[in-house]
Amino acid sequence: MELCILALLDERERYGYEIVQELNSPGEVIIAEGSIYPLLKRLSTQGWVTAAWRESQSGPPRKYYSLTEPGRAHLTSIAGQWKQFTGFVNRLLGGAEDDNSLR
Amino acid sequence: MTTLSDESRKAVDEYLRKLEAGLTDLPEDERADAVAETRSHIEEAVARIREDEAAAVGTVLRGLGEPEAFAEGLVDGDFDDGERRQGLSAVLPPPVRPTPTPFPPTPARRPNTTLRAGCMFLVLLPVAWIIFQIPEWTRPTKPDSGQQQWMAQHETMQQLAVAIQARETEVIEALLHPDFVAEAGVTGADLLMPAGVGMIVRTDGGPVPFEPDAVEHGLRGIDQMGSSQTVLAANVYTLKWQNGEWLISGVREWDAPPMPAP
Repeated sequence: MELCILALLDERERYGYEIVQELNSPGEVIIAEGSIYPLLKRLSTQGWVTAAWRESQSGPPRKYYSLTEPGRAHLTSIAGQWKQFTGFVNRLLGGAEDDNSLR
Repeated sequence: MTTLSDESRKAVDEYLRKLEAGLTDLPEDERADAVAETRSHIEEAVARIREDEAAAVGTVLRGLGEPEAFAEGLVDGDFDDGERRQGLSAVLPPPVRPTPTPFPPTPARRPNTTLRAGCMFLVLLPVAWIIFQIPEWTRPTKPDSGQQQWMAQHETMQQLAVAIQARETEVIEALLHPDFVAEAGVTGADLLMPAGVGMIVRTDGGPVPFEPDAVEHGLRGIDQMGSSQTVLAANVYTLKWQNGEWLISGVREWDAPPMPAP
C-alpha cells in the first residue's frame, strides 16, 4: 500500500480522499478509508511526504500530500524490490506452467 | 463547504468528538490537524455520494471505521500494528499474526483443512497406487499371455519415465526399490537412476539413493533423446564424479524386446 501511495504522489500532489478514490477505483486495490490517514501520517513522520492545507473551490479545505526527495529515493528502492519480487514469482509461475505442459 | 442537516451534522460532530478524545496522546496542533482533515474527508465524501444525505454520512463514517480505532491508528502512526516495516516487507502485505491460543486449546476451525487434505489425497493417490502395484509387478507368477508378461516387465519403466519427467520424487523413490529395478529388466547393482529414455548407471556401484544430481542428469538424457513417455528404447549413461560434478563417461543402448502379439 505504501508503494501505491508513493507512486501516486510521484505523479502529482494529492489529498487523502483523492488517494482513496484512486486506490478504490473498480478493479484496483481496495483500501479502507480509515487506513489511509494513519499511513500518510507515518509517511510524513518518516519524511517521505510533506503536507500543506489548501483552499478548494469545490469543497472544504484539503490537505495535499506531495513526495519529498527522500521519499522519491525510497520509492525507487521499494519499487525495484517489488519488481524483483514479482519477476521472481512470475518466473516460478511460468516454470510451473511449463512443467504442467509436459504432463 | 458542504451544508449538512442538523441530524447529519450531529452524527459527524459526535464521530469527530470521539476521534479527538482518542487522540489525546498527540500534541494539540497535530490533534486539531487530524480532526480537520477527517472533517474535510467526510464533507468531501458526503458531497460526492449521490444518495440520501443521512445515508451518505453513515456510509462515510462506516468507511472510516470506529473513531476509537481510527484514532489509535493515527496515534501509532501506522495502519496495522504500529511497526515500521522496512525493505521488501514494507512493500508486501503485513504478516498475519496468529491469535493467542487458549489453554487448554479448543478445537479451532480450519477452513482450509479440507482443501489441504484433498490436495494431499490427490498427490498421494498415484504414489500409493504405484507402491501397491509393485508387489503385483514383482510377483513371481506367470502371466496369462506373452503380452501381459511383457507389460509386467516393462510397464514399470514407463511409469518411472513419466514420474521422472513430472519430477514426482516420491514416485521415483518408490520405484527405485532394488527389487523393482531387477524386475524392470535392467539388471545391475550399480543402476542409479533409470530416467525416462535415458538411464543413469553409477560407476562405483553400491546402493541407489535418490539424488537430485541424478535427476538432473536423467532429465538431460530425456532432453537428448526426446520426451517420449514410452520406454521402448533407452540409453544407459555411465557417470563418473570428477572435479565436483557428474560427467557422462559412457553410454550404451538398451532396447525393450518387442511386445508379443496377443
